[in-house]
Amino acid sequence: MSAAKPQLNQILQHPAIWRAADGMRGKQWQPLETIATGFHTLDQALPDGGLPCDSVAEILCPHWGCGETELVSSALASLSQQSRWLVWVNPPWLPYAPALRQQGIQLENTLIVHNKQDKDILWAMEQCLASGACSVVQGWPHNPSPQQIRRLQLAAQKGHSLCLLMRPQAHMQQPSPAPLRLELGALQHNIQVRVVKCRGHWGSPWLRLPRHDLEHSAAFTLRTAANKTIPQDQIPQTPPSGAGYSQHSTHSPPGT
Amino acid sequence: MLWACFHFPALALNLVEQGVLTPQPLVVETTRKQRRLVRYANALAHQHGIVPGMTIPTAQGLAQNLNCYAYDAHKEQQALQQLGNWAYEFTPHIRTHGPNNLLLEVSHSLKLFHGQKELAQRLTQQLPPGFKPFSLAFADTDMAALLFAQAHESSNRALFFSLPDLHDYDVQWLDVADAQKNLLYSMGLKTVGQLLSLPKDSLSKRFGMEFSQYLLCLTGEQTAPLPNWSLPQTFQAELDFVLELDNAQSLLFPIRHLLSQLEHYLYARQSAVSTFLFSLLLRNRAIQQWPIELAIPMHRLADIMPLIQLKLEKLKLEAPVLSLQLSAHTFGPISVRQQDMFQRHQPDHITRYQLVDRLKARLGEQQIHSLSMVADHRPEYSWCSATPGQGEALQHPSEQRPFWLLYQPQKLRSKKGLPVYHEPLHLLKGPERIETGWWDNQPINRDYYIAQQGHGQHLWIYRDRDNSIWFLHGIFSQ
Repeated sequence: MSAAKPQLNQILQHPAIWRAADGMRGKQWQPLETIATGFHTLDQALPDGGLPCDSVAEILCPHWGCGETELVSSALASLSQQSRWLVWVNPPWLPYAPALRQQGIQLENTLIVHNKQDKDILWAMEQCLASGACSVVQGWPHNPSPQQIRRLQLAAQKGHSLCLLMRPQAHMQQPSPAPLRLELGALQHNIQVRVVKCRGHWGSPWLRLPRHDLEHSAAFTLRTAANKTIPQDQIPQTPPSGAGYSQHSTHSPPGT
Repeated sequence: MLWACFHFPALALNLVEQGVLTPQPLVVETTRKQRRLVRYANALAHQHGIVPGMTIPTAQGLAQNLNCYAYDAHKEQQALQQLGNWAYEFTPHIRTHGPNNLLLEVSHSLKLFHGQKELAQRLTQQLPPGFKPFSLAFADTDMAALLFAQAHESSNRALFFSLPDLHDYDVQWLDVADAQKNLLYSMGLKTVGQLLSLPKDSLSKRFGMEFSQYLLCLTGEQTAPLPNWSLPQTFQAELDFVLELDNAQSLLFPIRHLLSQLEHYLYARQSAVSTFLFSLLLRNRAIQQWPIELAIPMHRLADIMPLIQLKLEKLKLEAPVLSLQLSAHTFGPISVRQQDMFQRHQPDHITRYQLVDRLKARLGEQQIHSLSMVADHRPEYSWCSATPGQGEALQHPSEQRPFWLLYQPQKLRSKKGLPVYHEPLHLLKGPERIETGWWDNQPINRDYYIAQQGHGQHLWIYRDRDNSIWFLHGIFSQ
């Protein structure tokens, strides 16, 4: 019995056999390099357990600020440990330096590019991706065409960088050559996300990911993958007791 | 000792032709006894029948669109200096002789360059473009090499000679005054061999000490100490244009020419440059300065050219350009590309900063920055934009801070004392009182709260205690 198993592996590696699940990877048994998002259910739904390190991941949001930053923040923190740039191109607001530090992102690797025109935004993203000197490029173009997204994909593969393409949800129906597409829903108790398109799988149903409880956490704790797997109801509900913290008030604030 | 001599018979003409973008007939003129004469004529002018020695009006009659340029000895010397800087790659013993000769002592470099023939091939192939015609002669003494090079001018290749070959050459190739050459002819001495067979002391009595010194140097019986070439401390090069240029893109070719001279200079000095200045002399005699700053010192033309091309697209010429000058004063050591053996996909720091340079060149200097923390309790001042790569992280506050900060705090309506942002917000945490900043006239007096919009976004809002207005300042990523 145990002698049969190695034979099965050898048979499966025969070049004449093609399996749908790993047809994309070619004959070599090489898993794609990925970076985990830290959310267990999402990582399981993504092929190879995380965001791909060298292609475009399109994230479609109903409005900015519905949990897309939390989705990628621990991936950003671990990618910033490399000595490569972390680039934000045309962000809707400014990344706040103390908060980045709290998340564990190295500030000396951050790079923010401000410009408003789509052709400049896409040019900057392509230059950053193709150079190989950036680990992740997060961009907010207004309306990229499929050809432009294809160029970004080629640039990301060439420079081995992750491209996070943030687009409004209205563009869901536009065809896109991005190999990974995630859609976010309105933010509630949980972050709602589903995988619209990915390599080798059909996509996933709506997933509910736990959010970090701002209300009941005292001092800030660095987000790690371990914290995020704890379901919502098991997070300790003790009120804060740290010294130097002003009164915790659920009552109404002082009047007008 | 082995000497090589470069002879450039039409150096002044070469310099003028460097500023020409389309081929046209050119002459370089000199003035002798108030008559303007042609000194050098280029190939197109030769086709029209113009020869050196002709008067300028005659030449202009032969070719209508002729351009005449005055002979500039200073520029010729500068060009020889640039050539000397280039030749520094091969040997440190270099000196110039006269207006258009370069003498190199190469016996010590033969081992490095694998022999005389290899060295000669390298010298002819790597000569900077635009200095043809030339001749290169190798001989055992410097004066002999000079004589052979001048005798075989415009051969455009390397020739090897030994001292006995001198004897057959005509006396006109000697490097002495014309009057002395005429005297030699009238005495019946036509070849150098005949001259050298005469007794030395009677020659020195007849022609003077200098003449006999020259002959001793020629035959090698007396040697001068080896010259040492000193590189200038700063770099300056210029290029005059034959026709004024009014399009910034047409400057690309002259810029490349000047930058390649800078590259040779940097290679000779083993240093890299991070700032240099282009000065454009305009038609109205004004000078437009175009400074170039690089994020990291660079020394290769191939690294610098793409950035220059990007910056050239944004350059606006105030008036047509007559000449271009490049100057550089401060240099730094060459930074070596180092790659970590164990980490894949780690770029060297030259690539990182080249990317920043490229982005800045196209999008503007102010649009690209890094983030840095500042020790200040006021949220809008607790961060600042830093030059890329120099973000500083300080101790972060123990309270949570929002991932996104609005560029300007947004005023919120309030309903029954509670803030409203699309819908009434309810406050989760707070207040955190920040009351500070009196020292630079930007005091703030705020109570910060974390508020939630329904069950959705967490927002960072504050209430200004001076006027009880609610503002939205940040958006949490959670």
